[in-house]
Amino acid sequence: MNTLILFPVLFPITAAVAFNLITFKTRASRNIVTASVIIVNFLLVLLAFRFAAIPELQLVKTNSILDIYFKVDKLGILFSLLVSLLWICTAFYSFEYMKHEGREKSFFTFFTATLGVTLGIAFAGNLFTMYLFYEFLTLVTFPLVIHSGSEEAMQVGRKYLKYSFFGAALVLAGIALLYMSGSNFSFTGYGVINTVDVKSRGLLIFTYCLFFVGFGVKAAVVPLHAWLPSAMVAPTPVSSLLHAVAVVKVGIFALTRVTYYIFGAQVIKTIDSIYFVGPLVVFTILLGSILAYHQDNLKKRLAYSTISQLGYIILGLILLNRDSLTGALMHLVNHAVIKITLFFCVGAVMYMTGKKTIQEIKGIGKEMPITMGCFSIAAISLIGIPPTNGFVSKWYLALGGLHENRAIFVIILLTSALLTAAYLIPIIITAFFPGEDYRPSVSRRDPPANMLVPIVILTAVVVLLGLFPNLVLNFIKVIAVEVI
Amino acid sequence: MLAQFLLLFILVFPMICALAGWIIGRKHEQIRNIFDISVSVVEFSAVCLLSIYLKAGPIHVIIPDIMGEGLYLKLDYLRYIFVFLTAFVWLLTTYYSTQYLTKFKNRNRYFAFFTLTLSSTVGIFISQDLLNLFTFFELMSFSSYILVIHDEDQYSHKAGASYIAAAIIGGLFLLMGLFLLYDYAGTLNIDLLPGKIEQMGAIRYVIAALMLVGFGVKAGMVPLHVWLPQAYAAAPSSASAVLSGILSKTGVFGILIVATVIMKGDLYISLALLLLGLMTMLTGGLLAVFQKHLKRILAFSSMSQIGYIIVGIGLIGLLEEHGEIAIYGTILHIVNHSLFKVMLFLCAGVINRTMHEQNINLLRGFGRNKHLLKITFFIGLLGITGVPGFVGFASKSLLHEALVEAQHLFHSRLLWGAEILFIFCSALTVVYMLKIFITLFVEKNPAYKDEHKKYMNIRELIPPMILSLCVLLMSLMTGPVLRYISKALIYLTGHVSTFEIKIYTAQNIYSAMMILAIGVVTFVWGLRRFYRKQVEGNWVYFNPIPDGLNLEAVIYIPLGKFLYKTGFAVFSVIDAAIMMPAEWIAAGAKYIGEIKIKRSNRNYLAEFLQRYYKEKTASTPKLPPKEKQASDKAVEESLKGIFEGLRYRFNSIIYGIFIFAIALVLILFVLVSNQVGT
Repeated sequence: MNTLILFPVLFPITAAVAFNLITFKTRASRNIVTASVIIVNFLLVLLAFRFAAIPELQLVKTNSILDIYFKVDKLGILFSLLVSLLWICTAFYSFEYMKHEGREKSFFTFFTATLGVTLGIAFAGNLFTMYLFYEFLTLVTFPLVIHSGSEEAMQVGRKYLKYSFFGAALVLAGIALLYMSGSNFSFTGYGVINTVDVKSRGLLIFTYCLFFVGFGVKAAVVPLHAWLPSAMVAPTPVSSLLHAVAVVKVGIFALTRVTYYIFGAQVIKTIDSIYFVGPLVVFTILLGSILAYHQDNLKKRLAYSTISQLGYIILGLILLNRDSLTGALMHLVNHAVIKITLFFCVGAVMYMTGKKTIQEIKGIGKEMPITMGCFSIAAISLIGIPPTNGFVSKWYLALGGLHENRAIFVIILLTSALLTAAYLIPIIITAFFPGEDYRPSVSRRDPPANMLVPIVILTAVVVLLGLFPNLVLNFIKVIAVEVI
Repeated sequence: MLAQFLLLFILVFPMICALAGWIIGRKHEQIRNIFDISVSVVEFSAVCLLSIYLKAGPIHVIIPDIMGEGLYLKLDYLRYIFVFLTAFVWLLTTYYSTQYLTKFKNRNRYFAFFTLTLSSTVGIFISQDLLNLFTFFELMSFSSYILVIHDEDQYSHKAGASYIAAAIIGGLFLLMGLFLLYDYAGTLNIDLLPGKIEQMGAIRYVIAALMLVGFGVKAGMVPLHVWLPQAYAAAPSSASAVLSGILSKTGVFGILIVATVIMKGDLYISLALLLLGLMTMLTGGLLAVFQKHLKRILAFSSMSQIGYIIVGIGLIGLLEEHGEIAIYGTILHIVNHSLFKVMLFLCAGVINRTMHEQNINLLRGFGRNKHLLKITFFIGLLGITGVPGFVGFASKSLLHEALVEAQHLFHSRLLWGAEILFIFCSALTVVYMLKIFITLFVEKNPAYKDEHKKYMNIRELIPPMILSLCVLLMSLMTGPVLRYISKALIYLTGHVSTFEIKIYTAQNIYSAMMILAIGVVTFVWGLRRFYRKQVEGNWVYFNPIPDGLNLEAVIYIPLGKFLYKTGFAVFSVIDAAIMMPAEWIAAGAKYIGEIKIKRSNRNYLAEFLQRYYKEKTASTPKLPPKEKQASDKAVEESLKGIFEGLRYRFNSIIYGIFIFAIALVLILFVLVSNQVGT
């Protein structure tokens, strides 16, 4: 039954190919089919967890390099569940949203295909398989980025490709360097590199930095973050899912794999990599939140905010202790939920009113109270104010920082939280408290149920994960114990 | 069991009712009012009921798993005083709000957040785990923010911005303190912390300082007070009343917990608090004297009175085992100040609602013939200035005595100065209260002549009158009140109080009279003579402090802007430095792309296609029309143009990319399998 692992990966890709061939008569029928594909795929994911006796699968093995190997471990389960669930929400949201954007066929084709590829990354059992899917991810998401087909979108698409391929090239170089010192790079709990001697130390540092920058492109680490804000020209479901959740989180996920499952926490600690990558991460956090304040376009503001929040997660990864890793993985989940909610709300405002900047949304809270209410809750959570889920992850990240006696990181976290408040709270205030001279224009116009229900559900998750974090927390703590 | 339920009930019930009230209020305004009043009645009765269970000892409620660490509530006598005050004040202000807000917009929003603030405030007072406390603290800040900006005009938005910024920054300081505390102590349970803190080194001062900043912001401690006068003045009076009466006490409660319980009255912390308290007292008092805006006077007065409380907390630590007198004074003053200030703000509200004016120069003589209002206000005045016979006298005397005792203990010049300052600030209290009272209620103004009940809503006056009755009652029964406080004292000192309180000593009465005398003299021969001027035949007060001169405008905002601009400049440079090489490369590529080359414009692909589809010539030209016109001529074309043409020939770039990818993968397979073969 091990082939069950393959189904969640292949099924959406097959479905995507089928979508391209079949012409649906009505929009509704296509929506139903798409939704059922994505929901069925979620069930397949669950099935794979349940019935795959030994959760691994050797698909092709021609030599030690070309070795396509899948394995389901706890980290993979966490990531795949997160992705599948958020994909369902996004699917329903997109059914409504994409009516305006047009070319729905192409959108849903690649949208479904991306799910398969992302799950492929989640289930990849070794470095090469992950790399393969990592490249595929760039390719399947590219059409989504340039969806509108405008000159600007094309330009951004080219930028996206250049950055991604550059990162991938660095990763490839890293893999090549790694294979010089060994042959089996399937993901293992405490890492596969066991010994560090004086000779190999320099090489290891170099290799790790290659991986870090390479995967860091997708995770928007500072020198190579510029593609993320530009990519906001894409339709909102794409920005939300791909650039706040799937693509960037794949970068983080890959970094986690490399750090904890290939190198191993002990090795990374021995080679003192924090001195090389730490400054980048600090820059990422601060740059993201400082520049976010300057953006008038709501989506761009959120994009810069993503950069800084991803910095939090990577900070947790490189601090290399259980608390920090718990915080990082918690924030991987929490940030995904929060950011997707924020994007959905902004998208809903754009969809219903066409307003894109902060000046325009004055008083929008009175017109769309539920949408902006959800936005406010998610924003408060992103700042890290209890009792929302953003606080939980920040709590563990800060404890992790203090655990390493690096209070400076905690101060940076809090500074960034302050900046987060500075760029998010004005949105809420402008939306809800427009002042005396505001004349309410139209009656209530919250978006249709297809958009509103995912937003409300996700907001509920934001609060519930804040009140009862132990559901996810205990699972993540087990992961942390397994690797450190 | 019922006790636990009740404790949880007083926390959760208002939270649910906030939502329920909001839903009801969307349709039925009147029912919502009744509903919200009954909610506060139920809440108050529940709190009263709890006092019975409290006799058996502190009540604990532990609910695991909430927020990871669990929710841990505790009620003891000390906390009960705060909770009782909260519930009582809320009962009155909720009723008052239903009368007061009739002309305001967004009433429904106001009531929802008013009730939510109640829940979070109660939460602060009963949480035993500092993490829970922090949660409720933030919740309270955010929900009260909405009360502050209720008017949504420019002034209230500015005040609101200060308020929320102060709340968030204070919250972050507090959070940093909590992080450090948890890292070192491994727990945030208030009862367990004192034992752990002793084993820490100097880090405990860092922790305490961070937490004191966090709580000090809410209490309005100098120099963190900048938001306070603005917010109190901007909010609707009913909200100002709870802001000043109760919400500032959450900060005080936090300071008390940190300094007295967790740090066990550490000498340095206490000394710092004493100094900060004195500064707060003085700054608040001086600024209150010069204001001419009624609610701003009351706001600064609040600050000054909280200064007294902070001085009291400092003295608790300084006096160590003799600290009981300071505890009595502090707690009694907390209670007093809540009652007085709520009452005064409600009175200000009565005036404000009808007149829409807060400048006391324009309100001159407004209350001369409004006797009920006048008497109510007068009782507030007598209380807050500490006239012997009133309960304000008791608390001030106790604090004064504690200060004198500290002098005996330490023989320090500093404490001498402290006592002088204490007397001076008490005199200032007399000055600013007289300033309001004389102007509003004594001076004659023909504009308000013979207006007895006009512009007055008697129902609005009920809550302040009840409060003034409470003040009178407490003045009569100061003994029982102090006995109740002695129960709370056990939780701070750990043993039963043996201290005998004598309030009406000759010394105390003498100093109170002296303070009153200084105050009256300063008012009559100081303030009235030098800080009034004649405008159009009327004597009006003026404020000698220039408008822009406050800490916020002079220091905080420029500092914040400077820091932000520096940060922005640095990061923009970094951003640009990263982008520049990329732009150079792009520019280079563009330059190459624009080099003109000659090429024949025969379009091979098009010719091929035309041959292929002989019949359907019309449908084939997938070429830009420009190229078709110049068919056979060789033209100059840039590389860029060529590439664009090429791109155009692909049906869409998507397929191009895919073909590229598939080719890549194929090549990879071939290469790898070749390698395997060899």
